[in-house]
Amino acid sequence: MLYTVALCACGASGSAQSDGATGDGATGDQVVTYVDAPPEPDARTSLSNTFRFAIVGDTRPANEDDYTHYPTAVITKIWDDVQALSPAADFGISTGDYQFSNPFTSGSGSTVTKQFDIYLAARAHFTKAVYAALGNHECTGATASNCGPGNANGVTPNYGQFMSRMVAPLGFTKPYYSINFHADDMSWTAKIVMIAANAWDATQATWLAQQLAVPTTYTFVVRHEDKTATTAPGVSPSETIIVAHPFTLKIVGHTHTYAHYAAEKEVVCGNGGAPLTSGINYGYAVIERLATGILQFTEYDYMTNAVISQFRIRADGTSAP
Amino acid sequence: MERLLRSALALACVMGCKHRSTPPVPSVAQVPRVDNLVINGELDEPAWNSSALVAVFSDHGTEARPYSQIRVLHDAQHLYLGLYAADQDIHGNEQFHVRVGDRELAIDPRGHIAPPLPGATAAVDLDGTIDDPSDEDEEWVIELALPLPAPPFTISSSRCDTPKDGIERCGNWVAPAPLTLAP
Repeated sequence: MLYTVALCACGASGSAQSDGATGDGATGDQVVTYVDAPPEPDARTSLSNTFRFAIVGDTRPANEDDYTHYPTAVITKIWDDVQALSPAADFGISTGDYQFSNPFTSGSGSTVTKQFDIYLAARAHFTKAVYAALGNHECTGATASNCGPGNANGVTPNYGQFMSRMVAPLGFTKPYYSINFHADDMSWTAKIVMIAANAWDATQATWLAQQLAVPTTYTFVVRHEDKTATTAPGVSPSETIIVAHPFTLKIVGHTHTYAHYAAEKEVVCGNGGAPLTSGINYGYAVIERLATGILQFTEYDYMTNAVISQFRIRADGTSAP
Repeated sequence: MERLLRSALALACVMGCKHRSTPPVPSVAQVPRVDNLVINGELDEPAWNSSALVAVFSDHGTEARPYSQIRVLHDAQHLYLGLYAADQDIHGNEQFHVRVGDRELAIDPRGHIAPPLPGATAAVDLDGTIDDPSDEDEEWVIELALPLPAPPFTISSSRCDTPKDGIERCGNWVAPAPLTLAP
């Protein structure tokens, strides 16, 4: 469905409307027709013998509020690539940081709506569900920030837009949540546990321990920051809980590159359009279950779809041939 | 109703905001003017986004990796440069090299300018830790004020970086034409 920016903001923002962004059109900023993300389709939770999902992370301009230099072409091509995967991806995961906007700018000066508009328009090129992680830029931008009701930074416009436009359509009410899926014949089970380290509280800590205690064949833990970003309120506490439980792979972003740390059972997927910090090009990743039960991880270059890196792991996260 | 709203928004845009709908693309030969710019390392004055010359560093014709960017503004006394460096592992000995006319300077992630230049100031916004490879850094930004050169003048800048893979990579930008100052 086609909307103008102003119209889609009215329909989608919820609590984030306090930033005044719904007045964009009336205040004279650009009225550009975007295809906003449609309501998230219900992802299938019962799959055949295999599963396949895509991972995209970190998409933002270099400078705060600079939406005119948003990496629109890069992220659009990435989601086009994901949509074109064959066999198709069952769903997608995004590791956080979808915009870089000042959460303290009020009224028409705020660019958070514009940047979410651009991102979600690109993401809409992929028609399956996308499970989104909260990044520090969906709080205040500071890695040390902590958002959510009752937390130090509260509900910023950035947080509000993330919740209303990326989480609520999935049917969740908190920035942390888990998704369970399994084989049609229950020969394998899997869960994805989404941690919000920039919306951390005791309730999330309890929830995380409970989720990770549920036995599944495969467990994927998604958090925006890697374990070295210890200023993020929930990184160290969640890391302690994670390593006390079995898991298959930890999927993070925050660092604008791709990297695999086998010993840590961690993969960094942060090269989704944000300024690149290493020699790796923009790209996306795919995790697929092979018929043997082994998981194959492949990182692709967004422009050529060439394989940048590929590795295989067992359900317990150890390396496999 | 939706159609009506769309029409109203479109009309409002035609009447009042067309000039704002597409931020003006300044001539590459003219440095836009700014007033009341504060050198604090934060490129948070609206002019840095709305009117500054903006260029991405390249390496043999493609976008340089790691990513670097330059922004240029001026006022009556200063030429202002915004230098952005994406950086996985910030080292204290890294530098942006800047050449304005026949003057060449280097600025490091601590904001040191070498050689010292009277009237020049720099401030840094840094997201990461200098000389600590144990963590993942993100970026550093230099906001630099230089004495205003006499126009027309040339500008170029370059930066080399060694990410954690140990491979040094460089990028640069050269203004394609001598620059003048917008009034």
